[in-house]
Amino acid sequence: MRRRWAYLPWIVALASMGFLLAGCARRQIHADPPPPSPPPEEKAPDSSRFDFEGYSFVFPPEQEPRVWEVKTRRGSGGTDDGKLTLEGVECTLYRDGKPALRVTARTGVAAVEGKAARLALAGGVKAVELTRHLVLRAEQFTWLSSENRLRVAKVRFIGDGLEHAADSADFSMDLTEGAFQGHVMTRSAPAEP
Amino acid sequence: MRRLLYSVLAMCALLTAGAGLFADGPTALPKFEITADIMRLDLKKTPRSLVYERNVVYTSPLYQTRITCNRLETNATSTNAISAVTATGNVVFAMTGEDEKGKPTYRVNGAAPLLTYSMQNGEPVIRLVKQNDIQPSLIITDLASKAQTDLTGSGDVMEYNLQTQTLEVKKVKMASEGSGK
Repeated sequence: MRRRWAYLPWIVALASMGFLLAGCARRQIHADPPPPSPPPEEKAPDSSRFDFEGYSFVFPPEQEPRVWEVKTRRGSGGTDDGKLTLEGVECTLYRDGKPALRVTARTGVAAVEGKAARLALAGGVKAVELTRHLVLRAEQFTWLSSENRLRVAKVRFIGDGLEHAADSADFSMDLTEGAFQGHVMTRSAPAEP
Repeated sequence: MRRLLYSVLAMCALLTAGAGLFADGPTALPKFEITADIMRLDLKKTPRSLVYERNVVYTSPLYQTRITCNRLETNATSTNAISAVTATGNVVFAMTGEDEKGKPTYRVNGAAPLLTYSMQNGEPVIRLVKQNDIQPSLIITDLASKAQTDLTGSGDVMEYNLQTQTLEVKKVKMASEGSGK
């Protein structure tokens, strides 16, 4: 008889543990919804952001040699990230302190990080080389002052009586050296308006 | 006095017409279009250099000329004038010969390791050249009778003048050179 009830405490202990575990598991499945998050705080207007119209600027300011001169119809920018978003862009890029390229585009971003400058233009970009009057048209145009090279997409280039088109291209600043990639096409150039 | 003036004017007109006829025409290749995957342009080099690579196709409406190859290089003698192209790597060439009325009469199909297309004495000339023991091949098809003339292996250099529509096949042996039309 004594032997028969010897296992009873063990059975009770195991059953209690089972109930406990089952309770925890159920709690996980049917967890209470998280308390509602407080409504997002309305952001205070960023005092470092600004909009402008009919603005022109040079880089570097009040320093030689000049890297670029940008005129824009309107735009916006921030003092914290050093980026300006531009609309209706007219720009002159300088090489060795002398005007090398005159570029126009619908939109653009001008960014300055330390001494490096980057100009990314898009939409009906037209660049005219000012010495030989070589003409480059593209949908996207990126220029990095550190590399002194141009990268363009959906490009059409007219030079020395020939017209070249490609998906993308990489150019020297004076447009005399270029590497074209993707769907390259060359033909006799029509007269450039 | 009036007669002298007329003759001076006539001479000026003749000179102008002559200059117009011979200014760029004889040295520049006929109107063309080139497509490729890659192209490198160097306008600083003299002569100006354009190098096309991968899936290169050169087409010209003159005699429906078509050249396909892996690499094509252009040479320019002057601004606005491409005077020659050099094609290498699986070069295939085709053109259509015409009679005086412009009616297509025969078709020329060729292949060679090296092809040059240039202006020689003001006439466009295509040369198919042997390289690394691979001889050029050329098949001429008469469009009316469909008769074919296969000139494959008959020479080391095949020179086809598009203006005069004449073919010259040359065999290069050591330093000497034999030729036949």
